[in-house]
Amino acid sequence: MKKFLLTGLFLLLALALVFPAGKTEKATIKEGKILLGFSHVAMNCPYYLAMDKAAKDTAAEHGADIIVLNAEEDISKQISDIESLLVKGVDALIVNSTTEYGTMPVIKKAKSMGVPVVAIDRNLYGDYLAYVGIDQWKAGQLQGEYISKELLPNGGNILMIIGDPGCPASIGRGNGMLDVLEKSGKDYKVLATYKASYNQMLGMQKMEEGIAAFGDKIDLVYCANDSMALGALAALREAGMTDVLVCGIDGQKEAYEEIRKGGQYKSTVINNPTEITTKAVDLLIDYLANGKEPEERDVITGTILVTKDNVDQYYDPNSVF
Amino acid sequence: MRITKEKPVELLSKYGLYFVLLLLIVVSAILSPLFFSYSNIANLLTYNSFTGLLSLGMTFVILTGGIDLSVGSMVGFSSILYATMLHGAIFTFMPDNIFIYTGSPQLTPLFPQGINIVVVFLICSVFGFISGSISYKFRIHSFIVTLCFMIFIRGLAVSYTHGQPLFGMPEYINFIAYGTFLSIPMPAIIWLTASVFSIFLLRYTRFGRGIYAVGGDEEAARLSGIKSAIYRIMPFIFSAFFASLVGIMMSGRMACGDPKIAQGWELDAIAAVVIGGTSLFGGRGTIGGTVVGVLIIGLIINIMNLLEIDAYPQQMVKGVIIIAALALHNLLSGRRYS
Repeated sequence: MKKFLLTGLFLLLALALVFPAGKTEKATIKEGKILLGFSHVAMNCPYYLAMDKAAKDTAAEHGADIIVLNAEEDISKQISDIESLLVKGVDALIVNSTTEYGTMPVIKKAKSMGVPVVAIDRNLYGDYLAYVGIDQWKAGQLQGEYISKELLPNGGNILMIIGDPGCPASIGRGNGMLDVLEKSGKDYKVLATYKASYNQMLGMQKMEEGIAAFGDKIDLVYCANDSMALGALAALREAGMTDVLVCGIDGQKEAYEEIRKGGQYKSTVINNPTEITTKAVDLLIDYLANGKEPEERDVITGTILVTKDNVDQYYDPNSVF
Repeated sequence: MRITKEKPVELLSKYGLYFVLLLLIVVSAILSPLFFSYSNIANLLTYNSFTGLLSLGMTFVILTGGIDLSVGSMVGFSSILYATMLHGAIFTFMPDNIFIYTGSPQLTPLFPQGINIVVVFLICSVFGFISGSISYKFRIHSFIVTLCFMIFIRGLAVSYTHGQPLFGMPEYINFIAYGTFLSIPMPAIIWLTASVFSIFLLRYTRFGRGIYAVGGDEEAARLSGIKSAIYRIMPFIFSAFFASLVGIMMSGRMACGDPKIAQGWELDAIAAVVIGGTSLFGGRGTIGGTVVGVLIIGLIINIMNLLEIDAYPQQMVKGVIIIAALALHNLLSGRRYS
């Protein structure tokens, strides 16, 4: 009996190993075809998933192969991912880095192997071909200008919900806005700054905490992305606080819908993952196939303020994000 | 329930784990032609050295029936502590604005170069000593104590620089993360040296026998004149020490100190130790098993990466295989619990 069990288990283990083997034929590199590697920071929200999809779609359009590896927000795994992509012999790399500095040595290594690197979404430190993404600081400034001119022209109390402390996107978006408010010379007060990791559910939770702490004092909620802003909006509605204004960043479809309704959700800034990734793949293919260097090292996409005046121009009910 | 009659099965039970590893290597080699390339093996060894070192310390802790959940946070803490010391301070509270370095930052180490590392080791070991002592003195299970330390130390690490990485590492730190000696990656050399040292310590010294005795039956050990305090507290110091070593090596790998790294690594280390055949109840297990456990998990991930399996199925396969490996191992050795 025991022997049977043992053999059975061994077979199971072997099966578990062979089960992924169905994909082996994909691993063989086809002659003459461009192979791209994409080291992605995570795939846990619509924004990142849209990037994954756009990268695969655009590569397929160009007839190139692409391998996408998910670092699960772990810088060590990301370094190892990039090294395995280099082992697999990719022609070029797209990196959405976990932190701005941590990938520097391995990108140096890629450079020495003659593999060009394009950074997307988050700026990197190091020797790369180009950065494709929004201007984080300017995104914050655009919101700051809109707040100081239109939303709260006479000053007011602001509650901030940021992503992660120390992350360049949160710093740029937050401080860009604060910078403008400070220079406007009007009386603005930041009641509190919460961190909600760009997550909708956490955004709602932090807003509930904010309502409990400050109640009617809040005039406006400024969130570092639309997911958190939508979470905050839900919390405000539940508390019946329909006169508190909400601002986000990213240009998520659901945020456009709220802005179209003309309610308390007032503005967002375009940061389109599909546009960013498509541009990055195009740029790399152009570089590999035609030897064309990008004109600028920082390729800025989006960074356009969207309010009720121009939302119809950008709203697409069929978009992924 | 011990198997005594059948010779081949007995052999399997003793070396079952090594057999699983061998099986995995053979399967990997068949599945991907890239597997036995030098760069892949080097990459595999380097990546697993970090979990490997953490699980060495974890083996000591688990052998005495404890558990250390704070190692992941300790890695982040030692990384940022070391970086701030290289910038001439033990604590810098940065403003909330972005630091963009252009070119190599100027390093102004607090102490002469090598001493900084020793100070990091010392500070982290003291944390290990404190958590071990609290657990021993107040009879709180180390699961709770180190859980609190996990949260506390991560908080401390993040408040160092407001969560921002601190850029700039000296050359020799980059060397221990990326360099090679006789074309073996340095992290792998450090890991294997530490493993050999740990095997020696556990097998051939009084200290090692004490660990097993206290982990097996503390009361019996006490009655036979073994001072259990040392054997209860020392493993936590080891664990913290190995974690700080990993933190410094990781700093070299990233060329910066980052307080947010290594989240959840404690679970990887515990998984490796348990796969390696160490009992969570203490008193039974080997370092050799732990090394093999780390390699088994690492190999599974490596081969799935080479085969371009998507990330989500990867997690499923990882979960299934860890259970399967454990079940297989326990069945072979006729053991009831793990």
